[in-house]
Amino acid sequence: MADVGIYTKSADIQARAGENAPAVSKAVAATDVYVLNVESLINSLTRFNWSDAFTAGLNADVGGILTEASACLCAIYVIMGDMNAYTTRIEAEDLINVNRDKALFAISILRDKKVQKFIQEA
Amino acid sequence: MAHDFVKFPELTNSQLQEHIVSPFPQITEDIRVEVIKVIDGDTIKVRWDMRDFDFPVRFLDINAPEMSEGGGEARDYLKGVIEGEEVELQIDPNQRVGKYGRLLAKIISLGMDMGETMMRLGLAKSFENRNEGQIPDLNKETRIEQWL
Repeated sequence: MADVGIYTKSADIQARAGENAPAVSKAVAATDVYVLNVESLINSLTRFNWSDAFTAGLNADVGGILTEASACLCAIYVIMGDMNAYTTRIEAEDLINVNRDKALFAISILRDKKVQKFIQEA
Repeated sequence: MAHDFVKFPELTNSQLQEHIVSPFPQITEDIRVEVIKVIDGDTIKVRWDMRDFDFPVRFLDINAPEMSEGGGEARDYLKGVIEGEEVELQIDPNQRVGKYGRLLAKIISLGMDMGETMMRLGLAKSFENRNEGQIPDLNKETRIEQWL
């Protein structure tokens, strides 16, 4: 149980995957597989190494947007792991849509150079 | 009358069918370009390898506020994200050229549709909803000529 994410922990992901999240894909062993890839994707897409900045210390009041972006993207993988675990297919699809929307919104904000400066200096 | 390629570099679909000879390649499919300048929240100036001049491109499906109406925020966001970067222009063959002869395109940066992004951030509206929230011009809407 390493929970290797830098700005995303397994609990953040599980919370966003819903109460019926599949047991296998929500386990730390599973989330560890893709959390660093997702963080790497966010760092590359925003052209800023948030992992280093987070490790060096970011104000938690503004740094939460990183967790939001990353955990929402990771939650989509968890949900896709077994969509039959949910009460209905619609429940799983709704969760994917909400997570996708929130992740894209957060990434769009993180791409803004002024926001990057603001987060670092906060 | 000869087509003014300096003012209107893009030929419309009907002009293309008239076989007007263009001194440079016309854009009818997706291309990659470098963003030279962000003009406002929905128009950018780009450079393409196949043309020896920079030309404007308007976002196909969004409408950002004019600079006089507080459009500075939308322009600044785009400047920070795509100015100086390479982007993909996705062309809709049926809506290639817009008002003022500008090329219309979806602008994709690092896989993200910048039009969608601008709408998601509330910096622009979809083109269909561009007049949302505006007071209608009753004089224009109720003028009798439109019924005759």
